[in-house]
Amino acid sequence: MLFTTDTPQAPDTTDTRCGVRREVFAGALAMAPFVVGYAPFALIVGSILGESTHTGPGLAATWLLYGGSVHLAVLRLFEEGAGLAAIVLTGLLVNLRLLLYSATLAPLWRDQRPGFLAVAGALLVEPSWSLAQARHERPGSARDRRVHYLAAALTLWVCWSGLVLVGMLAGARLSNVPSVDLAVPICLLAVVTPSLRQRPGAAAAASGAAVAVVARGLPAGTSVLLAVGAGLVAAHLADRGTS
Amino acid sequence: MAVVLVGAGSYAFRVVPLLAAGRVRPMPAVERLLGHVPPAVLSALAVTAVLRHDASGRPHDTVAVVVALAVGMALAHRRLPVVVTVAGGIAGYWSAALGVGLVLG
Repeated sequence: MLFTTDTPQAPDTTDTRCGVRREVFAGALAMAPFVVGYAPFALIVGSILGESTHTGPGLAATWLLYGGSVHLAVLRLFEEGAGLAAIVLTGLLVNLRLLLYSATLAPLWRDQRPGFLAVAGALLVEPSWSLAQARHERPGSARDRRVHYLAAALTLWVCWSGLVLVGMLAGARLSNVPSVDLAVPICLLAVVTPSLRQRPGAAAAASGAAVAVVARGLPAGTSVLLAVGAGLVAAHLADRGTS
Repeated sequence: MAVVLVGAGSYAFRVVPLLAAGRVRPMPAVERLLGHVPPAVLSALAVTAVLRHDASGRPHDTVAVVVALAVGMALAHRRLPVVVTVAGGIAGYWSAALGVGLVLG
């Protein structure tokens, strides 16, 4: 059985540094459209946080929860005076999809170090997850993929945190930037389009999209879980039909 | 307290499968199924983001959004970088909004 090695047998330090720099740049650049796309969302979260009466816990949630949907859900429940159990259950339900994201990356990162996995997990959200998937499709060593992921994920983490703080200080008027929010779906489509070439992937994508439309009124995060279920069933059926 | 508990649970969701993968290898069928999760999730997120797109005050927005997504997918199909895909999609959006606006007055 072949294992991917992190470093070549006779490493050239100049090549290594160039490779790291290249991956850092590529990771940050790949994340840039997501940052632009998510900026209005971060500003909205920040402006709601600025108006909240629970500023301390709400601000801590920016880093402890690290996710727009769960942050908004928790802030809303704080303002409504919901109990501890309701807030915790809702927050965990919204973030349950992270379990799936982590499970799908686990086989791709089997040769990565535990320390990296502990940090990478903390930075795992939709954009970083999708870019990790996309990077895995291209050639490169385990180190290349690790550096690329960390550069991309940290870019988003820093920008998201900064934009939430800006929104908190500056208010909701900053979020009215026309058509910028379209960058997010276009980014996601750019990542999903290659998988449409195969029948099971196309079936999963079509089912996921259809379920997202039907379930759009449900609490944040729930529609994604339902989309996963429908997508898996559709992909399984398409897979059986193909074979 | 609530934020800490949700944060701890979320971190467990994020990390436990990654750390367990070295010890527990899922069955090939499960691994194959997990490979179909990304297209389902990404398309659902894309649709959700489109539905959340604020069209207030911009006429003929639906046509422009469809054009933006079509341009984006066409560029992605040609395996161009994500930045180019997004720039093309946004350019398509503005072009379509302008074009439809001019035609329909």
